Amino acid sequence: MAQITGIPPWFKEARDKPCSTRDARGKGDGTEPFLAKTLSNIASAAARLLDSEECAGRPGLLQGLNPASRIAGICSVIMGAAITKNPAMLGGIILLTAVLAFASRVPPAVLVKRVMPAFAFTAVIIAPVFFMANAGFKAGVFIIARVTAMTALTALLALTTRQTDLFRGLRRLPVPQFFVTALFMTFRYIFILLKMAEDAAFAKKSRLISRAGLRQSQSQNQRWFASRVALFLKKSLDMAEDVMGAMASRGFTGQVKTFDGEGLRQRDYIWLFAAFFVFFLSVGF
Amino acid sequence: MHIPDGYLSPATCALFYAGMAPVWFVSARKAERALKLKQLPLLSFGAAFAFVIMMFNIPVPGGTSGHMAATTLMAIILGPWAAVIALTLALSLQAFFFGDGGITTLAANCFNMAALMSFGGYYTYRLISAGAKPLQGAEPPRGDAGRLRRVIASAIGAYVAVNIAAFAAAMELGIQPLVAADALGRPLYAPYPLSIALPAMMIPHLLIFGPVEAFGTALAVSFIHRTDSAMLHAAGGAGGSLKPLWILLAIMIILTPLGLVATGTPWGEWGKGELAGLVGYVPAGMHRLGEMWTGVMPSYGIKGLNAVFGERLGSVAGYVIAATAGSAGVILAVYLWGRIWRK
Repeated sequence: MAQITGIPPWFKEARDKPCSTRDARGKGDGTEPFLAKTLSNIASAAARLLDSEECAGRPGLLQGLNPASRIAGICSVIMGAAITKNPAMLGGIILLTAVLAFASRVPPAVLVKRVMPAFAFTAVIIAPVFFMANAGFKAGVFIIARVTAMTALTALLALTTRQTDLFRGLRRLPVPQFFVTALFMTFRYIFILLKMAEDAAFAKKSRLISRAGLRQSQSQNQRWFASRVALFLKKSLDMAEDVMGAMASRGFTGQVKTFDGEGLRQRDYIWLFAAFFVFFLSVGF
Repeated sequence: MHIPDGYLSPATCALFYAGMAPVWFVSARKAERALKLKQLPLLSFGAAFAFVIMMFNIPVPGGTSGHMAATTLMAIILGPWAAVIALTLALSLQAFFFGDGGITTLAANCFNMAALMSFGGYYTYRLISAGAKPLQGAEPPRGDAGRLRRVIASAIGAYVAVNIAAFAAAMELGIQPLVAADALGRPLYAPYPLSIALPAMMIPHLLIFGPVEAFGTALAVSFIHRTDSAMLHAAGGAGGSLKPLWILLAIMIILTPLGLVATGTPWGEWGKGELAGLVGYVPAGMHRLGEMWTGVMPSYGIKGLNAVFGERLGSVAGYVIAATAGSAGVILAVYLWGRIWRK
């Protein structure tokens, strides 16, 4: 292959990430730490918002249920986990969560990734309880298990429910319609603002030169932060105005009408019976 | 500050759902009245803004960074009632999609971070910025006293809001061992008592998270005031009456005598005799300095009052007079400060 000429050597170097500003001394990435953290937060938020869609699209036990019965059932099991004082009952709920995840074809790694932060946080917080005279090892493990079970169930609900199904399901439950509609719109707008935020952070990053003398001062960075907050706020208000205009011109009067989908089927009734059975069992134990 | 599932007992969660239901209802009504048909997209964009702004790290002095909740900023821009709804929406999505907070603890988190923070931050801001020069046009002159005062007010408002919410969360967590334990007295939910939960929550919020929130809010308000001050009251955030705040203050003053019901000495406020009883000795420095200044009204008492009214009635009267004098002193100081600033 003919040697490409005319391209500067730095252009041909492999970079670990786009726009990397690793400095010449090799002391880490020269990107402003606050900017790197911001980009990482945005990327992780976007990934989390989207990765449940993939799991929810698979054929599985929970995915096959009516959204309203799925939400009501999982919430009742969550309440069961909150109420029970019996370690065996709590162990049973954790086992049930694992079976539901398996039957719904939710990859264990995805579920564990979602549960791990709450588990790790609680484990660290609860550690001293193991040595408390009035609590002890059993009480500490029980609290950690309860938090883990409840977080896993919430994660399972999120991973097996498409976003549109979630809002459709909430609409059939005793949740105010105003709130559900606003929640649905918020979810849509989050993507718009996240994209805007990512663009702003990347634009800033791509203009940074990591040489110490050329790095921006703290006050410049702070001014940038303030200007972005003001910009997003302004854009949000302007877009809200535009959306409202569009809605009003289409005859919106405050009432949202949607297609609620089909009603409950036999399997939904069986699922609800099982879920409420777990709940009432937890009350007794 | 998001309380996860499993940290609060079901009874506590139910109490907060019952308490927040009317707040959500009234907020929706108030927001509807203030924002008319605009409310739905505006509240949703407000919620999305609060959600996204939490992703942004603020470069703070000292070379580190942190993120803000932007609740006070939202309350200043949208008004506190609309901010309650917007923050509730953001917290609901966080609980469901991110596992930040929980489903059973959602109402408690909304009480702390949507209601307390919005109202605490907003009314602190309003109280301090009341009388600041009115916002006029897009670009107020540099060095405008109104701008400086609003920026300081927003920073103090944000700081107060964060710490009120942290205090509430600490109280909720700290009472769990008292309200939910098994037959052997072992904790079933958050295991630490108030003596641990309060300092564990308050110290980082007073020293780190509060200043970060205040700093971020001040930066944003300063920039907005300089570039597009109309936004500060674009959606009903500015204006409105301070009457609810004064009513709340009056109720709190009226409730002050409730302190008389409390028995025993508050933790850490022991006298020398009590301390000697607890730890077996009185530190020399405390012994020496303890007598230097006993206050204008030592132990909330007034000399001679007991002789006139008797011991029980005298101590009650002294307590009420002390509370009234303290409240009047604070209000006088705020009034004088406002007068001086206006000049």
